[in-house]
Amino acid sequence: MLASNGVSTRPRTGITELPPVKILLVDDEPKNLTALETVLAADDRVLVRAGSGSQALRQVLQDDFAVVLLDVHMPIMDGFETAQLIRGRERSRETPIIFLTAAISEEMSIAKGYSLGAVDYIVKPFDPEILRSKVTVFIELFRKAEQIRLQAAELADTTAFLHSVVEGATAYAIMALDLYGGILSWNEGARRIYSFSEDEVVGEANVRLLFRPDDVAEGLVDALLGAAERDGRAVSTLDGVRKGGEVFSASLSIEQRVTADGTVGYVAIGQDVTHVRDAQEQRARLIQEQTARAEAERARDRLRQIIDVLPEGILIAESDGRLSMCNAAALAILGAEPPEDDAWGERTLQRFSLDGRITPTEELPIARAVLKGETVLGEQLLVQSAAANERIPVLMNSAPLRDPDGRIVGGVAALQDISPIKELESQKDAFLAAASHDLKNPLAIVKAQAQLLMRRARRADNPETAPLVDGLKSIDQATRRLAGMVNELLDVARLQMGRPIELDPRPMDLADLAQEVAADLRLSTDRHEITVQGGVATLTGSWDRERIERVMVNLLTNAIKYTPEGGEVVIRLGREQINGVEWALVEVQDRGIGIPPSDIPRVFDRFFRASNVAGRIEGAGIGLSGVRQIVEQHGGRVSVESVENHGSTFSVRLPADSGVPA
Amino acid sequence: MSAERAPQPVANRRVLVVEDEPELREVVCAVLEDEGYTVVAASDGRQAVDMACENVPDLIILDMGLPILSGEEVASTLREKLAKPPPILVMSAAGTVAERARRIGAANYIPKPFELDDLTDAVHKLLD
Repeated sequence: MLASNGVSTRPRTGITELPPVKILLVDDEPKNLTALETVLAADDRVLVRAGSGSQALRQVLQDDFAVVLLDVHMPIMDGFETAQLIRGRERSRETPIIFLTAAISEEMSIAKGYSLGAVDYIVKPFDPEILRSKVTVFIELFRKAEQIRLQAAELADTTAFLHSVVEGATAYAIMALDLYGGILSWNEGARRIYSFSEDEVVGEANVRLLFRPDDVAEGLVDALLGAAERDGRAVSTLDGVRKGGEVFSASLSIEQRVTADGTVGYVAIGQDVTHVRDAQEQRARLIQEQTARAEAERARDRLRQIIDVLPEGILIAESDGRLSMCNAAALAILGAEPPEDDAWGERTLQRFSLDGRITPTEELPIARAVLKGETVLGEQLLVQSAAANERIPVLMNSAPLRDPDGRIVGGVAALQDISPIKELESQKDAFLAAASHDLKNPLAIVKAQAQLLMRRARRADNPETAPLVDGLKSIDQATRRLAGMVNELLDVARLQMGRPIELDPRPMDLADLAQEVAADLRLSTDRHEITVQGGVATLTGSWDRERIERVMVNLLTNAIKYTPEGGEVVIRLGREQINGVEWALVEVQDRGIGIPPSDIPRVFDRFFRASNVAGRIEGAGIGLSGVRQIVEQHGGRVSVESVENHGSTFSVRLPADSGVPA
Repeated sequence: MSAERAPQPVANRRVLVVEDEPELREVVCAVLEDEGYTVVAASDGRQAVDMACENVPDLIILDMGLPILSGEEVASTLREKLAKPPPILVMSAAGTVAERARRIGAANYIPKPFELDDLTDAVHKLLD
């Protein structure tokens, strides 16, 4: 019954046509055998004749008989001996025997017959009806027994089939449990899933072995079995535990089981659903990712709409340098959409340049933001517009974009088209140039005329002209002051725009200048004591006297201004030699309100005012940014040391030997 | 001030003063004449070029902001037309006078407004 795949097929049910029943007739008298045959012949039976005990024995070895009719009185081997031998054979041990005897001669022989397994006696001459009915009983008996035997075989087949089904379902752990969860059966699937062998669990272990100890301790398994008992079925999604302790995702269905004899227990079918859960998790992840993508897309759309209304151009670069977003204002500046595949924005970024020269992409603020994480503010660039043949001046601010872990994932650049500012600046330049020309020419005339007349008056050497000379001198001095003021005005205007000023370096003495400036400023205050220290008689170099004077005046007026309570202000002069270069050092020290530490790095920036003076103390003149610019244009350096509420010391270092090349 | 000294024997030195502002032109001419130089004057760039080519001066005092031809154009034209162009002393009110003087190859410059001593010193240095 085993099919080739090793799984038994379902047995056929129903009783098939039974073969005719055999009856063995044993007698040494052939006429007696014939008489028996005559009486017993029927379609449902085969009558087999045996003329002796030994013939009878051969027959019972070959066939199963429903009944043996055995003559007691036979030569050589009588009926009793024959019966004993029939009974002694395995095959015929249960075969019923009816003795035939002429007369019941004595009690003993009857008893002997029964002891040898006889089921009945029939005394000759027999009544045919009685014989027929007795034999019929044994035929029926035999048929019943045969039927039972076939049914038993069939049952065994079914059991084997069910067993093979249970064993073949290797993806499922199928186990029978008793009422207390004791494991009664264990299939191949259970072995594969839980790794325990049948011997280890059947009759040995409880189903609780297959759960996590803490789940068991929490009573979750008890609840499960209780539910199965109450509802007939319960399904668990508790984790399973394999032999060795590995925990896995399990699904276990427990159903109540009542056997034919009324025994109550459970059948449990379990499954390793790790892959199912994995698949579910993967699916959930996919959905989550899709949602996140859609969300990101929406956020991006929204961001785009927002940045499109900004007046500033916005460029966003990914970490690979691809320009991934460009708003409407940036498009207007660039004149064309950046190409999609433009890694490092080469084709776009190449159109940017510093000072009009070809600039390597990595020097551009947005590249520095992405590559080095730098935040670059206020870089001025020129952009070659793709749409028009023009270079547009822009101000670019750039910063890196970081993920929550701080890794750089891109960069953002804000572009401002500063053409209008540049236009204003050039208008201002033109105005200044014109104003400069228009103011200085009349001044030059007045000054030259005054000086010419002075010369001529002096040459005439006439006492009457002396008052004239004094008047002319006064005109000349006023003109000198006026010229100084015009020049300062123009300088302030240029310095405030961050434009270079043209220096006119000539040999001069800083010590002289310091004394002059100190003397001038002493007139402006009676609360401050201004001294020149350092014991340096002369401090010469080639500098623009007017501009250096402006620097000193600025530092001194600051010192006075930021020492509102009054006090000492010191100009300290000195020389320094650094790496073989001679430097002139001018320090201006006050004991005023000082500068907050956080403001110190920015005091020389344009438009900067320290937080402790903004709105309180009026700013004017060239400012510290102008001081720095003038000094740096001379090749020098400015620095400051300050302690808030204790005062500041500003230091100016100028190259003492040659100054700037003319 | 050193304006006290007597006129030098420099009458044979010719100075061309190019300045469009008449009063300034006149005062510069007067100062130089007082110093003893022979002074001629032009009020625009074209006239300056014509005069310089007709009779090459020993020195040109050249304003930059001139009508018709600018100071720069005057200098470059003279460099083209004259085998040996005279030295130029730039006199300008522009803030960029030094830069402009360097560009046109001027011998020296004086920013306006100027001290007469600075003017006469510069002229003396270039002619004496």
